[in-house]
Parts: sequence; C-alpha cells; structure tokens
Amino acid sequence: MISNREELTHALREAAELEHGLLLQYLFAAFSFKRRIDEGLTSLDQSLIGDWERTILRVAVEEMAHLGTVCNLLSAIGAAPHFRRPNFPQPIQRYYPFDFQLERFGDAALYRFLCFELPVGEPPPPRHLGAAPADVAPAPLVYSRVGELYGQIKKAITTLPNLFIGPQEQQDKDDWGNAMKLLLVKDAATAAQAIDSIVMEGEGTAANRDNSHYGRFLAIRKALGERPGFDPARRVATNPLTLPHDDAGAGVSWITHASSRRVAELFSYVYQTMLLMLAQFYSYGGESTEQRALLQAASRQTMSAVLRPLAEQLTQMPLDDPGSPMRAGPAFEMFTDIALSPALANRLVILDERFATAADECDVLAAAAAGEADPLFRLRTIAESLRLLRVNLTATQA
Amino acid sequence: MLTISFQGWIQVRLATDPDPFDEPRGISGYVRTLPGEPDFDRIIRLHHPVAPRPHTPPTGVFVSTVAVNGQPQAGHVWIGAPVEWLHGPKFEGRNGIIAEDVLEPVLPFVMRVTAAGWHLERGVGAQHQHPFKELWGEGAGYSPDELSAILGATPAAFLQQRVVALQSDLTAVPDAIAAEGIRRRLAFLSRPDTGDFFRWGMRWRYSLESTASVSVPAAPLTPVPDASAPWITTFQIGAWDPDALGAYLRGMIVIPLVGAN
Repeated sequence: MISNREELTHALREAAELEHGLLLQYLFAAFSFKRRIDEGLTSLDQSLIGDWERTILRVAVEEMAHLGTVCNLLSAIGAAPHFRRPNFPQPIQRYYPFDFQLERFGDAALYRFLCFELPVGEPPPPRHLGAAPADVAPAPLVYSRVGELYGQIKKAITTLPNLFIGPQEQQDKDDWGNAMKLLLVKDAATAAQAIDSIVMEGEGTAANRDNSHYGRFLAIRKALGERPGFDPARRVATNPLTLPHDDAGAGVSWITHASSRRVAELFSYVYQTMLLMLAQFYSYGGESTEQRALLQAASRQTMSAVLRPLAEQLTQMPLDDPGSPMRAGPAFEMFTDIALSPALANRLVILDERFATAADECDVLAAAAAGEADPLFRLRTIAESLRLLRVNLTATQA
Repeated sequence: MLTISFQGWIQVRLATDPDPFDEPRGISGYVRTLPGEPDFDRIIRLHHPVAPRPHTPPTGVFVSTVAVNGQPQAGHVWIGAPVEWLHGPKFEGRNGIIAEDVLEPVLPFVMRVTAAGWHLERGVGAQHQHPFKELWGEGAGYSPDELSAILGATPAAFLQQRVVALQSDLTAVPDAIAAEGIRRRLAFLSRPDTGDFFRWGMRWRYSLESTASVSVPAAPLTPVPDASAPWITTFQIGAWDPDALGAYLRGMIVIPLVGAN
C-alpha cells in the first residue's frame, strides 16, 4: 500500500531500476547471438537469428522508453530521475522479487523473461528444463510481477492528493528517433495512461498478447523449442564481471583474459558515461536547449555506435583461458554511483575527460588487433566515434 | 562553361538506425541482408552492383546531356558515358555523430568521367574536417511528377510490378535460401509504408578543389577544362528503394573552360 509521496517516489525508483535491469538483461541476451556463417550457422539460421535479435532489441528499446516514462513520472511528482541500480547478478528477493542475471540467449533466459513480463491471469510458463535455479520464479512478495508493481503505483497516483508539483517542461517527450513512446505526465489521468501503456506493452491484453513483450518472448521460445539441439548463442558466460562489487550477488563469472577484461572495463566505463549524460539530460541543471539536444543525441549515438559494437566484440572474446570456449560479455558494471556535479561547467569537463579516456583506451586496445578477424579490430572505428562524440560535446562548451 | 548532366540508379547496401553504422547484416533498422547475401559495406556504387536483387532497377549512372556555354551538344561522344565516384564513397552519418539522416556528407568524394579520349577527375580535397558541415546535404526528395518520370509509374504501381514478379518466382524457385529471400522481400513490400520511402531524398552542392586530372583530345575546337578554378557539382539522390538497396541519382558538374571569363 503506497500512502504518500515518499512511498510513491520509492516505488517509482524501484520501477526505474526494474526497467533498467530488464532492458540490460534483454540486451545481454541479444548481444550473445552468433552472427556469422563461420560460427556454424547456415544462411537461413543467420536470418532467423536476426529476426530473434531484432525482436529482443526492440523490446529493450521499449523498456528504455518505459524507463524514460518512469523518469517523467518521478519528475511530475517533484522527484529526481533515477538511473542507479545494483550490479548484476541480483538473487531473487535481495532487492527485487526477481532473479536478475546477465545470461546468454537460450531457453533459460527466455523463461526468466517470460516470468518478468507475465500478465495477470496467465499461468507461469513451463519451467526451463536445463539447469535453471529452483527459485527462479517470482516470489509472492509485495509484488511478484512488474505489472503488479505498476498496479500499486497507479492506485497511489490516482488517490493521493497534490502529487503533481514538477514542471512539465522538465519532462522528456521526444521519441529519440526510434519510435519510442515517451509519455508526458500532467496530472493523475495522464499518469495513469502512462502506466497503463507500460503495462499494456509488457503484457498485452487477455484477448491479444501477440505483440506484447510477453507474447514476443513466448513466440521466440516456441520457435526455439521446435529446433532441438540448435544453439544460436555464443558461449557467453553468465554474469561476467571484471571487479568485485559489494552489491552483486553470487554466481559471477570473472573475466580474467587480459584484453577481454580491458574491453569489458571500457564497455562499463562508457555505459556509465552514457548514464551520466542521461542523468544530465533529465536533470535540468541549467543546460541550454542546444546542450540538452546534444546530450540526448550523444546518449543515443553512444548506444548505437559505441556500446553495441563493443558488446558484440566482447561476446567473441575469451572469458579466461584463450583455449576455453567460454566468451566474455558486457557486464554493465556500476563502478560508482551515478552522481552529477552541481556545477554545469564541471559536468561538461567530466564528460569531456571521460570520452578522451575511453577513446585513448580504445586506441591502445585496437593497436593490438592481429588482423581484421580479430574482435579488437573494430575498436579502431569505435575510437573514431568516441573522438567525434567528444568534439561534438566540446562544441557546446564554447 | 562545360556542363555535364548525369543520372541513373545507384546501389547502397547499408544498415539503418538504430543499427550501428557499420552493422554488417542489418538487425534493428529496416534494411537487412537476405539469406545468402554478402555483408553490407555501405559503399555508394554507381556501377557494378554487389549481389543485385532480382526485379530491381539496373545500377548505372551515365552522362545524359552535355552543354558548352549553355549550348546543348547533341550527339556529343560523352552522352552515355559512365560517371563514377571513386574510392568507395559512403554516406558518413555515423549514427548521427557526424550528421543525421538526410544530411550525411558523401565521403570520400572524387568524381570521374571518361569517354573517347577524355578524362576528367577531381574531388573535394582533404581540407574538410568533422563535422564536414560544408559537405552536408539538405533534405529534398523528388516531386511526385519527377518520381513518376523516373519510375515510369507511381511508387505503388512500380512496387506492385515487382511483387507480381517475385510471387511468380516463388512458385518456381527450387532453392530454399532463394525462396526465403523472396518471402522476406514480399513481407517487406507488403508494409503499407514501403512506397513512402521513395519520397525521401537529399541534395548536395560540392566545390571540387583538389588537384584535377584532365586529359582532352587534341582537336582544335575542343573546349579545355580549367583545372585551376573550382568545379561545381550538384546532385540529388532520392527515390530510395530499400528493397532494391538503391536510389536514383541525378546531377550535373559545371566546369570553367580555359580562356573563358
């Protein structure tokens, strides 16, 4: 029962963490797919896997929109945007009533995704037949489905008085160029619509779940089940990490291969830089319209031109022993909290330094590439992108 | 002034946002490879297309008219000669880091026209730097009338002809990979917005100022291009056909002549 603004803020922050955590797990699975014929695929497999990857990436983009809408809801009730989250893995009931793991694509991952998105009234999906943990199913805690948490938030929003004190102009209503549906929150009615939209996208309706996240994951799981023995994902380790974190649970795969570890650290460093830009974009600390537009563009461009390529390269690199079939992966590590300087000038200097550091590290790693087939080879292009992004950001400081 | 106009279909095999600009197969954008096709390489090809898809317009850009000091040169030997862009030019948008969609500069940009003893070759030069704003395009698609003239039909009718041909192919093709490719193309072509892509377009104006490579036949009345002054090329790319991975290019290059004011 959410009975005041403080509790509603707390619930919305938890919703933001959930959306953030879900989308990263979806991205991780999508980045684990095999892509090339020389990975043992036929050209028909390659196209089929492309369809699955596209579907999962699309769901992840929709979760990004959900995260943006939750930030709008926070803003509408006078609270700050929320991009903090605990590191992976998160065992069930430690923070959330879900088992949060970075896990390669396969039936076990799809089973967990279906549990996340389970619509009210639907029976739980058939259990994964492999080595799934016994406690993977949602626990009957305060809430056991994402939709249930949103139900409590909606109830509070439509009953608590005097909630909407945040300025509307501080909300994000852009589609980010990717057909994302971010909803503006003005009052209880629009807040309820925003929540309904999030739940509808996740669960669909009893009459039609085909295009919901649940329905799309269900379809992929069915198609995968019809291909016994087909392993469309690289042997990406579960919950790869480069460093111990106090807030991470057990079941970690340590990335110990020297180059892989550096690329994984670089990935998480850039991921955190992108979160800083997003936090700045949503926080309104005196940035000009031009600066805000550039922060938004740079965040989107970093996702497409830096983070995704880095993640795709990581899932081709060794986890530890070069002779082992196990691959590393994007750890999405939170090395430190996402906290902005109160001074705008400092924020921009820090971003500039971070892009310079990332580009330099990328150059060093790319120089070690043995040839075009080496996963490190693509880092040359990624370094170029980082440098150009830095130039763009620097231009707004003038 | 020597004015050479050119037009024709180009091929551009590239992934679109939000895919990374160097994505080889096309995953999250609307442009994708078909089973069995080679990876995307982003190169703008005016000739010699890679793995052209059946029932799509033939790639090739050729000189359409030549004029000297505004006077059309009917039957000029250049008419029909190939126009080339050298060194693998690309739309260098890089997911918007350099420029957003329909603004992207074409880089590198070196143009060549050769025919009957003539050779003209020149590029924009290496003086341009990120974000290359002077090389950005501006959004400008072909008008409906221009599109009808290019396609010989409305976009919808133009694509419907292709759909009919592909459906016919599907009944006869024995190869599972080719059949899957046709099914995917038909699924894409069934999208209600497929014809809308033809309205997209861009227009550029480049001053070619690099060292020119010029050779002309030694005829007494041959107009001699002035390699010391900039040459100006303007061109438009539109009628974007994401099923064909191609578009229609139309433009001209204006070259000062030696001895002319």
